[in-house]
Amino acid sequence: MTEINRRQLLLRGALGAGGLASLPAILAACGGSGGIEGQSAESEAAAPASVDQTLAEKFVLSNWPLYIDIDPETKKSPTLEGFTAETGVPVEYIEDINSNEEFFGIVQGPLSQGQFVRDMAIPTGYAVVKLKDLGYLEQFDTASIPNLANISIPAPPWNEGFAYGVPWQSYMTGIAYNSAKVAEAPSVEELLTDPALKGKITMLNSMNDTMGVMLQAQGYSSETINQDEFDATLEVLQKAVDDGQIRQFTGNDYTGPLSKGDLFACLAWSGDVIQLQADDPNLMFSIPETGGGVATDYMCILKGGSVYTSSVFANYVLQPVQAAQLSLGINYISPVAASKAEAEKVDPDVASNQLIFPDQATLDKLQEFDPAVVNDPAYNEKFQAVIGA
Amino acid sequence: MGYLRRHPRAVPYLLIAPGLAWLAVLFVVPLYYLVTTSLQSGDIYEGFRLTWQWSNYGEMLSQYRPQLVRSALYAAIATVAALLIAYPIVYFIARRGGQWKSLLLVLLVAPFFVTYLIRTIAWQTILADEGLVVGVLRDVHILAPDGRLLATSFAVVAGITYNYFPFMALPLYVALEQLDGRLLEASSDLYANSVRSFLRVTLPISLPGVFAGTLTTFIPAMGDFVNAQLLGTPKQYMIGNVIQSKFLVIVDYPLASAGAVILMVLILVGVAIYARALGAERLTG
Repeated sequence: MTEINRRQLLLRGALGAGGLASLPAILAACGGSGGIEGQSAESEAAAPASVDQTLAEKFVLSNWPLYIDIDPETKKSPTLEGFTAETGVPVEYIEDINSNEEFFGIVQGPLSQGQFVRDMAIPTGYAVVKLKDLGYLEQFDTASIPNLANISIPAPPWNEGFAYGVPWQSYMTGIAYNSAKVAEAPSVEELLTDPALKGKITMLNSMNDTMGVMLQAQGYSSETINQDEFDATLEVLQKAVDDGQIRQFTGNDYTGPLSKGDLFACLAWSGDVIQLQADDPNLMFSIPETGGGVATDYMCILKGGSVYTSSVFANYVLQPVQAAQLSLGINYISPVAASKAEAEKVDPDVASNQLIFPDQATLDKLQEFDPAVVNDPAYNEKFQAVIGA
Repeated sequence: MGYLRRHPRAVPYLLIAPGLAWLAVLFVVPLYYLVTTSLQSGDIYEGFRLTWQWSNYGEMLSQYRPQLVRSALYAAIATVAALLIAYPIVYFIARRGGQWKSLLLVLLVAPFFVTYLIRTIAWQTILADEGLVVGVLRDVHILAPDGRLLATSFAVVAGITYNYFPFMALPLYVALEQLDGRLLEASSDLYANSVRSFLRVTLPISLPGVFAGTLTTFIPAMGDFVNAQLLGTPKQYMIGNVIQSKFLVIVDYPLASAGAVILMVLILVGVAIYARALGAERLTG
């Protein structure tokens, strides 16, 4: 089991980004004649009528750190090795997605100038929507991906037939708590109002995670969000901030304080808590009765990347055996339900873990946050104002 | 060489050319883009266009005044604290360090070979609610039973002070190291006691070091956002946090650039006033 996972790198990404990525961001923002041009969405209509069915000489893939299976002995990824063995295409694997926003800042400049950046990247759903809307994505050659049939989660409306994004892994947002400090899982309302938890809880600094769980706790949907419900929910959050109930808004830097006992409970990502449980069995993860969040990272083909090679790669990892190997290696949720049966053959304990191989009852409690809202600056500004920046 | 013989006046320009090229590429050009970006309007989908949107500045100044003021305040307190802590330590090393001087200096700087982020996260552990420091402070009733250090302004300022400490200590060391001991002897020959010697001889001679140290500490401290993010709460956020969030989360490059320009101008003005007050021209010759 790896000691940290990709979410812990988020923070580092954000920090490094402030110092370093802001420069590319500035330059990107100013590329060309004094302003970037949002490419029209028309280019997306250019569906791959006849995809060149030759494999590229090399496959360049960007992913989050520690988000692929690694053999502890060879230090290599069986998934990538297997793909190369089967196709003869070597993979240049780059772990450079520390946050969706930072990665967007890095690739946006070159992509807007029509330059090749990577064949494939694996950002989160809402970021894929943004890339797609800007015309920065190629469509998959779905005819070359028969294993799309193995996917057990529905395709979101922006991604009919998984044409723009093929799911890689999903993760849940819920409440982590230290059972040495609180007897049972607090509800969202208790997090925000219980005097016993005052100054001992944190929420996440990503709007989709915090507002997704909170909207549902207020009895609203987080899948399709309207302005009034959002504002009403934000007021509840503002009050909890003003009261000093919420100690901080964090990336996944909640992990340290939670295991030390500085935090009694917090909003958290499932994958992190699984990692922490290995060292501290007191740490628990619960999906609130009112509903939790789920987000999916998608493989997508950046403009100029090899469509056929990317499609073959997606097809490769969607095989149940490969999908099981990946989930067992990184403790996130596979989009391929049949991978559970494969995982049971290898590691029955992990295969029965609801956080990695959730059953339908668990999945029914989860909602994916409205991507249009994540990508809307107006909502972001309101949320950022409440969390202090 | 013939050209240089014929045009001896070109020599200094040729010598300075690499430096100028460096400045042009890595300072002037980015600065130009930064300023023009700050005057654009639009969004990431429609594209940003230069529309001379001066209101970006007004918006940043009015909406984020608390963060601006806080940045200046935290940076000022941290700079003074670093000066008060560094001066005696460095004085001791420079004047009394003897053969251990180099070793002591290395020991002073050694922690800073560890990356900035790890050092700041280490403070989370040191100041933790359930940690030793808070425990002792609670036991001796300096902190209330439910009091805390982490996630307070104190923690943020302490973090900044610590993280920029070498920027204060090293210029001070250079200044104090060069102090001619015979001047102190002369001072005591003239019946000055040690306090008077310090105030009339050591301190004035070390002022260039103080000046350099305060600048190299204050300037980066004012733009810092890591300490506020890791050791503070939203109520401690500084202007750096705002700029970071505008750039990377809200993806509003013009507003973020306006914030960066405002920060830069504030620092420049502050430094100019400070230099005038301290008589920097006299100090630096």
